[in-house]
Amino acid sequence: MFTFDARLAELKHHFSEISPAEANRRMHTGSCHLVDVRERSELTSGIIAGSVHLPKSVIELKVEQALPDKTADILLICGSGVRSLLAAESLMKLGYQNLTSVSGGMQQWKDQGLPTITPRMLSNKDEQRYGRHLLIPEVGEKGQLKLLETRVLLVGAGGLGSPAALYLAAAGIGTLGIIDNDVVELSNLQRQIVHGESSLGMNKVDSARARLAEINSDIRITTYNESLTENNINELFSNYDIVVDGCDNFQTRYLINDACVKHRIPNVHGAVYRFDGYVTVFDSRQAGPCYRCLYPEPPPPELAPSCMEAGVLGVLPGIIGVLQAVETIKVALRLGEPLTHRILRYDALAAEFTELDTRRNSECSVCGDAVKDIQYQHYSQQCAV
Amino acid sequence: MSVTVIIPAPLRKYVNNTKTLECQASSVTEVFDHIKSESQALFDHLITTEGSVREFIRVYVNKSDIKHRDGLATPVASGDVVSIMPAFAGG
Repeated sequence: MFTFDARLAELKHHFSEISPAEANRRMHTGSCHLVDVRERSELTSGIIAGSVHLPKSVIELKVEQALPDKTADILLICGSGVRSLLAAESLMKLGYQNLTSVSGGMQQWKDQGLPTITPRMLSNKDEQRYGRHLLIPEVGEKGQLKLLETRVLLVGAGGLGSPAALYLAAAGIGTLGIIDNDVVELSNLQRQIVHGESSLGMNKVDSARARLAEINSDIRITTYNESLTENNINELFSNYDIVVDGCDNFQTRYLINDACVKHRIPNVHGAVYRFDGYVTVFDSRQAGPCYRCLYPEPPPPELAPSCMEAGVLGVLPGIIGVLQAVETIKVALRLGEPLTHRILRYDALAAEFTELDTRRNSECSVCGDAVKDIQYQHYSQQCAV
Repeated sequence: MSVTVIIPAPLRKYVNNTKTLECQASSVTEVFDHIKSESQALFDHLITTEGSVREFIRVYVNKSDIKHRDGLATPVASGDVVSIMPAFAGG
């Protein structure tokens, strides 16, 4: 009768085995891949730096994407050295040619005092919550952990800030700051969807915090019921990785710009007017332009649209604010091609998106080559959109 | 074919809420000459008394910003789209 012991003996005969010490030595030469075939729940006890995690239960499904070179030198390790042999057999059937099992597995690795690290892993709850992100190879667990570490400051909890905040909270941005000193009014509810009728009269930041906590109570939401000024901006911005500009006036937009350049923080910028909107990313770290490269000065009050002329289709900031959320996630994860050197303009009436190129101005008064120290300038508050 | 000028929403009040203007032109300067003939007020909104594009206005020929080409002397050809992009701050 064919027993498991007999099969194991056969596998040991067929595949070469090496000691953990030898595996460690070969790892350091960089000539091989170390594949950890333990299940996810076993990893909390420690993993080997540089190892690839492909659980035995799914290794056939995932190995070709993770290790496409079938001639590569692959070392397999498990808990005690049995499953690594079974995994070697599975990989052999898929055409992998150079397979070696680490005898004694992680147990012996640790007994020999070889180094391990504690992995950063999502909790079971977070695995469920962010499951659809985890299925995207470009995000995965590593990306989700990065989002959870990311600190985003939303300037404005209004038309643009509302949809951006909702999606960034849902996406698991670990720290969301919101600064706004307004209270919720009935006229806001046509577009500022983070607020509801029950929030009328409340501070916007409190209203937003309550709604966002309903969506995701596991993230940190920090609120600032105040205006953004040259007095508080340095301390505030030093606590964040990315700023989302969803404010509604030039004075604040220029201040945000100058501080983002000063602190080298990406500024995910959006603006809306009636049926038109645009979104871009100002990121001086990527040699991109800043807001002042584009518009060195705001329009004077007499040439800016007046408050009476202002107006916006309620859905419009939803589209632009969501695009800001997308760009924020792309910047956080360094994914794809953020709008660092482009403006994406949306014309709702024509149902048309247009791209326009942007470029840094080397003579810019804020990010130009000659600027040594950025001094905040003051623009008088004006009702301009 | 002619050059198409896209007038942004905040400035359409100067041209009876028209979204586009069509003109025959071989440079951006000539495009602005046409704008001036349509609306002196729009022209004044876009161009300073010294004859340069105002600091809160960007002008693009297709995807390119004329500031990074030849400014108002940037050539245009039939079929080109000239976009005017004013700063607006609504959020």
